[in-house]
Amino acid sequence: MNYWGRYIVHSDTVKTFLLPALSSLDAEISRVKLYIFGSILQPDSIVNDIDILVVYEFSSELDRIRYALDIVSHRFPMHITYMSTAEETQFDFVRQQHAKRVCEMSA
Amino acid sequence: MTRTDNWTAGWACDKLLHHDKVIATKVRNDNLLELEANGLEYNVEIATMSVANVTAFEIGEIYTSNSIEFILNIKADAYYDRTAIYFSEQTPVGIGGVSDLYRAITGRELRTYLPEETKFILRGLRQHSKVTSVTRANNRTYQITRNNHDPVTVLALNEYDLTAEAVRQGIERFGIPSLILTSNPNCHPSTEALRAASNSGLSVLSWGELLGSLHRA
Repeated sequence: MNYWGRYIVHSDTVKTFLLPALSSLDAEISRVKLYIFGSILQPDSIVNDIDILVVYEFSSELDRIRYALDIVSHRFPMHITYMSTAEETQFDFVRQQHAKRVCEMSA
Repeated sequence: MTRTDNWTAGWACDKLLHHDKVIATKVRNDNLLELEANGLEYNVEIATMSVANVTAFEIGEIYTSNSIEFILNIKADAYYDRTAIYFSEQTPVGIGGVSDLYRAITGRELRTYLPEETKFILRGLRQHSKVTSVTRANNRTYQITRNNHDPVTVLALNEYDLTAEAVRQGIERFGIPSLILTSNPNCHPSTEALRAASNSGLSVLSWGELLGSLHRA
């Protein structure tokens, strides 16, 4: 399935670099889940920023992932939302935004 | 010395062509491009960077000519300090991310571009009867002086779903304010976000609530 908006379609670097980088982060930190959502998932949309959702159990777990995402975000315009598990439940964010878990997209 | 973001002009040239008003782009050097767009009377020069904490010093490295009309920062959600904002206002030169540049092109207003949210807040505060001056301490913080009352520092957070981490990061990055403004009119703060603000001794106010609070000591 073609998840990607036009931004990705026109950039092999993003496709081959960003998704594996996010996917390995998602797999490495067990109690943190990474999702992609927003216009980048809509084929043929014009994408200005890549929307990333990080769902965590404890905020103490965020330092490592924030550092890694900060490095990646210098190369790609990314808007990163950090949500606790309770907040994600309160907003029903993943379902409402049709967010996709990164590790499931790259499988 | 070579900058680490010396790829940004080439990257932006490719990206900007996706905008329906952009006709052509041309790399002038590692951090400078030329852009031709429908609605703009002449080709404009855009300086490019990817910087998380933007200061006037950072801008000075890439602002190599006063013919540059916009500074494009690929790094989203960057911090722009007081000196960067002052440089932008006084030069004048527009500054912002890819979305900001697109809006500036559409609005044919590159040098004096400000995000709609910033324009709205500045205009509303400056028209308030109690307010004597408003200055921007950074791209999210407004320092307000008032008639017969203490000054107020407002941190504007524009998330639709305001989270605890957005509150904590906002305070950490932009400084401790007097209060937090939810500048997105449809903002839903989470229970944890309100608790995080309260733990820091801060109220979370909507736009209307902020205007009302400025009348009180």
